[in-house]
Amino acid sequence: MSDERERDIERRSRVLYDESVNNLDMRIRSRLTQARHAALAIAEKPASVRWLAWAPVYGAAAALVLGITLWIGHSTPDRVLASADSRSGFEDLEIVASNDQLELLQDDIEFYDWIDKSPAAEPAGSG
Amino acid sequence: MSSFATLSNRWTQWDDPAADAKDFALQNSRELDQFLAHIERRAFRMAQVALRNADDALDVVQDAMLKLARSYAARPSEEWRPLFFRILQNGIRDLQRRHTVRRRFMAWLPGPKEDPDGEAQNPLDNVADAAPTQTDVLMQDQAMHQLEKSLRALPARQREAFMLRNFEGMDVAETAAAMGCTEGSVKTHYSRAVHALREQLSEVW
Repeated sequence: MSDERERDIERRSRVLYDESVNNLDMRIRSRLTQARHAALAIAEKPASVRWLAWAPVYGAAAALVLGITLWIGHSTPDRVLASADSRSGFEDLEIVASNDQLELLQDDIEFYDWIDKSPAAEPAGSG
Repeated sequence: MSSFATLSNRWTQWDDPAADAKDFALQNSRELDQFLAHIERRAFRMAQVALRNADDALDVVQDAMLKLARSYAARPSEEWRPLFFRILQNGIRDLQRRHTVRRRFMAWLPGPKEDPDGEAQNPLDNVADAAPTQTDVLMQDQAMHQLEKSLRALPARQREAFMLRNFEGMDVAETAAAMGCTEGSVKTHYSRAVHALREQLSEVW
């Protein structure tokens, strides 16, 4: 008896539900059709095109990473100065160690001695 | 010569994967269109019964359609129905959870409180339309009204099992796939739902 009653409830509820589905108003039907068309438009797009839709996001992310990298690079002047100092230090060392420069100094030593003793070398207004 | 032409023609057909892919996509799109057209109104009613709001139900159905089309359109069409209803049920549950959180938050704020039964969440819902539609007339029907009320009174999992099995005609395996649970759980939920509905509707039906 209870099984029969349950079958009756299943059947009656199914009939009522089907009627309510069939009697949906035009506004709802129209909205559902629009939603279906939007979904189909997505399904018809090839996967490559769907990937392209994300291209601006990927581009922005790449630009952001590049920007941060550059900003970090510029925002550490100590490190930059240190590298510049070390570079100029190497240049000085090269000049000091260069044999050519020492030879030049030895060749012109008499010239430097003469120019040191000449009156023109004295500062203006001292005599 | 003619056999060579036939062979050549077949070779040309085999050697055009782009055309094959296009045909497949077109056929697939047509099948998906038919599937969604067949299921959209039933999905809407299922969501409307659970959410009590037509606009929310439309949003959830649209979202389910888009997700199915985006992620599962290439799957065999036999898998679409349980997949679609699983997406739909997840969407319904998410929205119900958000509504619950919002109600809790609103309870802390001063001002008029929402109806605890959720029957009149929006004052405009109670304003009669100029001309009642067929659905409105049907909704006024006592039997349908009682059925919806009883379905809403069921725990969510029991309601899902009952609607998928009884209204959508899914078998136990399909329902289990749609609900993301075991077949044993589906049988238990369904049995309890039918029993509860019998108790609630016996007096009015």
